[in-house]
Order: sequence, then C-alpha cells, then structure tokens
Amino acid sequence: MVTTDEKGPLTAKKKSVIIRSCDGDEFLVSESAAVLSTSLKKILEEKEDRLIHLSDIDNKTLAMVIAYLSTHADDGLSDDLKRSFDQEFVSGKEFDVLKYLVLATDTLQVTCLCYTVAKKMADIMKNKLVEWVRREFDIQNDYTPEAEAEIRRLDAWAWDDRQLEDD
Amino acid sequence: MALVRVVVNFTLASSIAQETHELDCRVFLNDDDGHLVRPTGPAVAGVARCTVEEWMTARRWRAMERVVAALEYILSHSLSHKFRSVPILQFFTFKLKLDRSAAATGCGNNNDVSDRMSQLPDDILISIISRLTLREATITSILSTRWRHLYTNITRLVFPPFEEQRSLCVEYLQQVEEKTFPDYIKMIDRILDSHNSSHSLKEFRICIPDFKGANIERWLEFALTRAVEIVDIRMTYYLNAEHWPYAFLLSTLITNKNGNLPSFKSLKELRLCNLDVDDGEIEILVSNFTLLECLSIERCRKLRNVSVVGHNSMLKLKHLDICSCGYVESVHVANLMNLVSLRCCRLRFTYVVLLDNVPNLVKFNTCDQSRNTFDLVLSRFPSYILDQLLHLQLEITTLYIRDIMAAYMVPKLVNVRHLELQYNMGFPQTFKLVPLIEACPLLEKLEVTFSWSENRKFENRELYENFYPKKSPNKHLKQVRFSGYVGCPYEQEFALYIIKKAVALEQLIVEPLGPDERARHSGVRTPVITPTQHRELKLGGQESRYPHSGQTTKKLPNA
Repeated sequence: MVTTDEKGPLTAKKKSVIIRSCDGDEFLVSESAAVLSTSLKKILEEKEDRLIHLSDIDNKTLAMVIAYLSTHADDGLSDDLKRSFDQEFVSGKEFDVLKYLVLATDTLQVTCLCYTVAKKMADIMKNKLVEWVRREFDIQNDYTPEAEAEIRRLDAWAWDDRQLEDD
Repeated sequence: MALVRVVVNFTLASSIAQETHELDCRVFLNDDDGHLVRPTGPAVAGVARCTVEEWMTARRWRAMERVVAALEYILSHSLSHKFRSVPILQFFTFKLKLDRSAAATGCGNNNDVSDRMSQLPDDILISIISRLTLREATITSILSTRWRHLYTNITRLVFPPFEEQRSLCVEYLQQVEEKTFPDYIKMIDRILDSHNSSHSLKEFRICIPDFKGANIERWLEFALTRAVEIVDIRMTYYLNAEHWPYAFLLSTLITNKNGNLPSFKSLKELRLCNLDVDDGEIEILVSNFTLLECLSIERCRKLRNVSVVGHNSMLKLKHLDICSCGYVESVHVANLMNLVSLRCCRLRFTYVVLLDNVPNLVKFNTCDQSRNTFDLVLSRFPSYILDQLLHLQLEITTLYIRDIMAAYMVPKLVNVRHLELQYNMGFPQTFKLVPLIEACPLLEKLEVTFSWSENRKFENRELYENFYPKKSPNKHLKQVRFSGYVGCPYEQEFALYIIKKAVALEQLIVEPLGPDERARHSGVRTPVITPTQHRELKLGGQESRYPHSGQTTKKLPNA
C-alpha cells in the first residue's frame, strides 16, 4: 500500500503488457500483475518491448493464469478474499486443466499459484488406492512382481497396518 | 430449461476386450445446475465412433471433431433420438466439459490430453507428492519406476502421526506399545538415510514420546544441515524416567559446524518441546539464525533467564513463545524491531517479563500464576508498551489467586481491540473480569471460553450486584463470542453485563459446551443444553436460540 503511493498509483496502473499465447491470441495485462510472475518480470526488466510471446501456453491456461495474477495484484482485495479466491480457483477443475496450469505456472514461475495447484493435485491423490492412481493418471506399472514386492518390503511401515482406502 | 453446458462422456465399452475396438462417444446434456437431463422416453445421444487407436494417438482430435459434429446434430434435433442402452464396463471414463460455444468452434488446443501425470517434470511431481502425507508419498514409489525415487526428494518431512491429527497426537502415542518403537525409529532412520541430500527441505516435524534410541541429535543435525525452513521437534511424554531430562546439545552442533550450517540462512520457524535448551543456547540460536521469525520453546527445564536482545543486527523475529518452562525467572526482550507477538505462559511463579524497544509488539499472551496474576504481569510493562498492545490473550484461573475476593487491578489498556479470555476458574467469579473489560475502552472483539467447573450452579447475587455497577457504555464493542457456554448463573451475569455495556453490538455468538466436553465429565449432572435441541434461553432480556448447528449468531440492531 505504501509502495503504490510512492510509485504513484495512476501511472503504475496504466502501464500494461501484452502477452500472446501459443494460439496467437493476445491478452492485455497490467504490469503490476505481470511482475508477480518471476520470469515475466525478468523479461520486462531486460527488454523495452511490451509484447511477450509465450510459445508453450495455450489460450485457456493463459487466461486462467492472468485471472489469477490480476486478482493477486489488486491491492483493494484483502488477503482473506484472495485466499478464498485461490480456493475457488482450483476447485472443480479437471485434472488435465490443473496439469496445464501447473506446467504454465512452472514456466512463468508463479510460486504461490504453483503451490496452490500442486496442493489441489495432491488432494486428488489423497486416500486413493495405488491402482486408482495408476488408472486415473495413466501410469504404466513397469515393475516386475518381484521388484514390487521388494519395494513393499523395504517400506513396510507405509503398507503395514493401513492400506489407503478407495474412494 | 437452458442448456448451458454439455458433458461429453466417452465410455470405452466392454467390447474393447473383443474385436470391435471402438469407442462410444455419448453426449449427455446438463442443465444449469449440472443435473443430467434425462431424456424422456427412449432417446439417443448421437454416437460418434472412433477406433481405440485413433483415440489413443494424437489423431484423437479428429475423432473429437466427429463428436462435436454429433453434438451439434443432437442439439439441433433436441433429444428425439432413440437411446441405445448398452451395459458398459466403466473401464475408462473421460469427461470433458465443453461450453456450447466451444463445442461449435472446436475445442481447445491441448493436443495431448491423455498423457497424464508422468509427463510432468520431476520438480512438479516432487512438489505435488510433498503435499501428501509421508506415508502416501512413500507409497507413490510403487506406481512405476519413474516414481521409484521421487519420494526421496520430498520437501516436507512430517513424520506420522504428526500430520494426521495433531491434537490426537499424544493420545495416539499413548496407545502405541513400547515394543513398536524400535520399528518406528527404524522407519525414521530409513527415510532420513534415503532422503536425497542435494534437495532442500522446507519442513521437518517429528512428534514422538521420549524413548530409547530416539536419536534427536541426528534428526536435528539432519534438518539443520539442509536449508530447512521449519523445524518442529516435540517429545510428548517420558516413557523412560532415566531419560529425563533429555541431554540436548544444540550449541555443540552449531559450533562444530563453524557457523557454516546451511539453515542459518533459511530457518524461519523453530519449535522445540521437551528438549532442554539453556539460556546461552537461546542466544546462540537467535544470533545465528538471522532469518528466524518464530521461536517456540515449550517444557524446557534448563532455561532460567531468557534473554532475546537484538544488538546492532536486525533480527527478523516476529513471534516468541516461552511456555511451560517451570524454572524461567525472567524473560528479557529488547530491541526487536519486528516482534509482533509474545507468549509467556506457565513459567516460574515469580517470573517477570522485561520489555524494551519492541515497537511492533501488538499481541501478548499470558496466564494467571501464583501471586503473579496477569494484571501484575501487565502492570510491570512500561506504559508505552501497554499503549501499543492491540490483542490480548489471557488464561484466567483462581487456582493461585492472591486474594479470593479481590478483583484484578488492571492497568489502562487504551488500545486493546481484541480480547480472548480462557476462563478456567475453579470457582465462579466472573465479576473479577469487570475491571479488565473496563480497562479496555476501545475493545471491539471479545471472545470468552468458559471451561468446565464443578461449581456451575454457584450463585451469589449480592457479589455480582456489587461488582457489576452501571459503568460507561462501550460504543466500539461489535463482536462477542462465548464458547463453552452452559447458561449457569455466573455466566449469565457476565453475558448480561457485556450485552448491557456493548451498546453497538453487532454480532453475538454463543457456542454451548460441546458433547465431547460433556462426555469427558460424564457422571456429573449438569444443566447442559444440547446443541441439537431447540431451547430458548433468556439472555439479557433477549431471546437466544440454540439452532441445530450448535451455534447462535444473532444480529442485534444498532442502539
């Protein structure tokens, strides 16, 4: 709040950046939102050009990330509101949507969003049978039965008294 | 009914096992609320067929186009087609939500939808499984060879039973038999051995009873030699009396490393319980871990005079918690620019808190102790510190009170906005709190938790009438919460007093004593109001109701 006063809120808000997705669509983002992403911040520091092309993020994902950044750059919102926004942001999203989101946040280095999404993905895996996880996430079991038994023996404590319950 | 969303539900029929190798793409229609619109009478969702190979490879989007075509067809023909019902083995279900418009334009650009989890880079997978419990994270090693060693890189080592139920931790451990402890230790050692040392660690928490073989020095060294951010080690109780007190050598660990501990530049939170640290070690800790924001020491028997003084360096310390250390005589806190909250509870009965130059200290937490009641502790503070306090948490008890009939002599607390009281009086004397409430003219939020008392029925009208005189109204008090409320006379008196005083009250929350709490005191007949019963209670002339939720929120009109 103090920082915006120093910068002069009007000039700071007017500055904006154009971000282009891999589909060629362009998004107008305020600079205060863009710098929340570490890699965008770096790009903006290096070059004067206000157009940033992101070759590996598609429209849908980019729109979501930008919605997140703009919400978090808004000084008018309280931390509680932002937290509930985060909750809503990831809830009800399909796994694949989350996957692209987490990849995008990794590229853009938006740490807090990356954590939120990773947490959501972990929640999906929580309390699930190994078979469920394999099936749902398309993970090929390439262990031999002997190797699998060996792993179970080594980490016996994790398998001991309680199998993960199926949902 | 508006059709806003269409769910395309691909179901690989059981026929996959046979020759057909075809994929049925059925289209279901959802209404606004996401309910499936059941076609009335036999109606068909258009079926687009594509081969499994097509589906599994990149060509699936061509198949998708067919689905979209089918979709448009259905939408235009409404639901008049015949519905072919096939018993399906739910072998593989994949749902894709499409907006109606998106369906028309073709959908999305994610060209490889089914390559799922394993495609993510290691770093992200590690960050995901770090958020599972340690047990679940370990189990992921069985998924496939790709996942074999991922769990050894996790950034949070929170040993069970810590994570599952923090509050139940102690109870859980008391059920664990001593003979299982060696296995437990083996488990911890195995995880520490296999953990990848090159990866940094964010969180390290262990909560176990003190038993033979617990190699705390090693655990602590393990955590501190990585760039760890949170260390929380608590020994819950003493199983072997000869281990008490635990010899704990924090300073040797720090000095042996010649000041090159990676965590000097990373540690933000340190919590130790039942581990003996001495006065000098606290100073070493605070001066070396320069980023430390939260320090909590509980049940430590070596501490005598705690001194946390920032000299010329800027310490980041925000929260300091010294609790249940029975030999601590003084807590000296000075020159801490960032200190926000301080907690001093259950120290030696004559302890003093010395504060100087803590400009940001706004929260203080303490409890009554023999001849050292909270008002005495507060009155020893310099007045400028009292003026800056915004938030007070007090535990009030008559157990050690100086004079059973005397009220507290509370100094003026001109800025306190938020007051939390844990009322543990063995003898019902809520009138003693009046001077405290009167000392906070700007109080905005009051939370009182009543605890169990044998004397709930005690009533002495005269006492209360003497102590609740008509005082100046408080125009700032907006939120009041009573927890553990039973509605016995002294609680009522106090509630009445507060309600009369708070002329601008906006929210009054009454949480009756929960069933768990009552069960703990079973056998004692009490005037308990069950939250599940609707029952009216006279409260300050206003009617208060206990709804099913067990919580009453009543909006009062502004006076």
